Amino acid sequence: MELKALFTIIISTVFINNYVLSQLLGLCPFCGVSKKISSAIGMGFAVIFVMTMASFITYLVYKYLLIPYEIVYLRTLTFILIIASLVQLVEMIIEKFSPPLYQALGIFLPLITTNCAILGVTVLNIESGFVTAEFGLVKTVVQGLGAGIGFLLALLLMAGIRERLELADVPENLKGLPITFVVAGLLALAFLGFAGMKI
Amino acid sequence: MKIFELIKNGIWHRNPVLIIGIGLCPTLAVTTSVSNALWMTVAAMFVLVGSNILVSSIKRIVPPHIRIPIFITIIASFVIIVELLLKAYQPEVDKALGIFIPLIVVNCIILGRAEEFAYKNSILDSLFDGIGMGLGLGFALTLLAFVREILGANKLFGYTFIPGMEPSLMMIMAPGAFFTLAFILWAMNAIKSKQKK
Amino acid sequence: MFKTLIKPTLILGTIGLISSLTLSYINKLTKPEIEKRLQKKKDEAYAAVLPQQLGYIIVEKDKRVLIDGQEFVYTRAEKKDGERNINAYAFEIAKRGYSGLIRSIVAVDENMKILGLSIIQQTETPGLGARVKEMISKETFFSHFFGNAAETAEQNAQSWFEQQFIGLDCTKQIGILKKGEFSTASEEYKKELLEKNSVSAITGATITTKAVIDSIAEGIEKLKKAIDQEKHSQNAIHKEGKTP
Repeated sequence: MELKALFTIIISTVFINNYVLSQLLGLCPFCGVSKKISSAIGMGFAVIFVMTMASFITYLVYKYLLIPYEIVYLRTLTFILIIASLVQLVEMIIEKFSPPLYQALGIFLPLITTNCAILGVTVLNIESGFVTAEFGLVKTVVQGLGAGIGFLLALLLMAGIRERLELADVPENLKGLPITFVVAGLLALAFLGFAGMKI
Repeated sequence: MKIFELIKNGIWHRNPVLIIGIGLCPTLAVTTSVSNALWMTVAAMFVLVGSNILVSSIKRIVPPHIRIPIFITIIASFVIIVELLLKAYQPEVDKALGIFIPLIVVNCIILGRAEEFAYKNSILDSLFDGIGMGLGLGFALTLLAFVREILGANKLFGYTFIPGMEPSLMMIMAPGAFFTLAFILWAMNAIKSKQKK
Repeated sequence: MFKTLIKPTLILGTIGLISSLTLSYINKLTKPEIEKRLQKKKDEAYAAVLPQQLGYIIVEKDKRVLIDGQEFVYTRAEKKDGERNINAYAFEIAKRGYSGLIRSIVAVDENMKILGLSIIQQTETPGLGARVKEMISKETFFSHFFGNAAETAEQNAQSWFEQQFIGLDCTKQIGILKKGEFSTASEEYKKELLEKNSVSAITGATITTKAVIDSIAEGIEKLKKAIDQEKHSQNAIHKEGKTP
């Protein structure tokens, strides 16, 4: 396997097919937790961690449990339960071993279960045919990592702009969600520039 | 009377998308055409009503501290039922909505209604709350899809709208989704502030 | 102990059991229907790429061979031309496009000229890549719902994007021309496309176009190897038959 293939996956999940700004996944936390840069960073790293782990585990479960026993139709149920228990587990482990990290990430972890970007990346891993591909596990984990980094990037950009926006004079009716979506639209427009980029 | 109130709340006063601002992913992602939006509404409403009824009917035997995993299992089961039915009888729809059918599981509206409403209210009320919220979601989806399909693809229900007009591609892609929703929310705010005066 | 550990486990387990039983029942109900539809779709795609008027008859359906350790499935059809049998091959190809796998079925004749192409699965962006399945139609929203029936034009089974592949030579690289789309092309432009062994790209979706072309090239490579393998094994049988 060439390293180039992995590089391509990273670049395309972070920039070209950014999960938030071009695939429109994970928008609830994107709007909810992007008011301050510090919380955006915490949420972003928690998502990267859970996404990578979830990609890894769901790949193994799908390939060695669901396919051999012909219960592929249970995919959605299995994956969401894996993600939910993974989040719980991560929360407990972090709380036990690294209280400072728990303080930083802890409040975001329960929110992650219903972040559709995470279930989205695990389902997309399966649908992009990685299960039958060579080195599928590596590709899957890299795609999960890339998607997480892309999420962090989008969240950071948004938080940076929204912190400035606090000081701006926004028309009364545009305050809150509407102006957030205008900003998101402009960011998405900028990311559209990556579309069609060939690596 | 209460039934009417519940449905009106779902569509307007407590519209999940336009007022509360949840369930945004499907709202923005599948509204590239009106027929996609309508099918998404049907699928989400089925899950919403089903899980609302089931959650409210077993609320007495569900211990509070494990209620979330139970809700998720129930919701995921309904989603799989929708997935299988669509694959068998409406394969075109299943293809068009793609991964947003399995993603109904993590739609905050459904888990939110199970937790906030169905877990505390009677079966009948939960049924109509589900219908109301589903219609609210449908209203938002259709509104967005209507604007985006006409401006972005010059089409309506898949047929050319005005022959010869060049559509603006941006509207069908991600930025168009954000801008359209921003515009609709802004209009909603303007209407509300006028009503207050 | 009972209240904190066993009771929740029991309840959760019961709900899990009930839901998986329900789901397996529904799966059992829908499975034959889903398979029937998939098969029907595949048959339709084969019929579209090997149209009846060409005269080919499918002789070996879904033949499985191993090429470089990976399974390759192809269908062989033949037609009689005087003494000789002319072969044609149809096979499934797939490649990642802009936002997911694009699967198609393509048919070629003996000289690796494309007889037909049919895209059976794609999740490209609506309005851009998804236009690979766009039909040439003058029908509008108003004419469909408010016009009279005579105005609604009859539709071709294949999209313009699929049609433009017919007649291209797969032994050479298939090119992409960006001087407008095939749907609105003049006769001269269509001629030029055929001469240059090229297809017209969908505006704004070159990646999708490229993915289809690349998947054809990959498929042809595998097909050639599969044909070679077949010949070898036939030769081997011949030799064994001759030498006692």
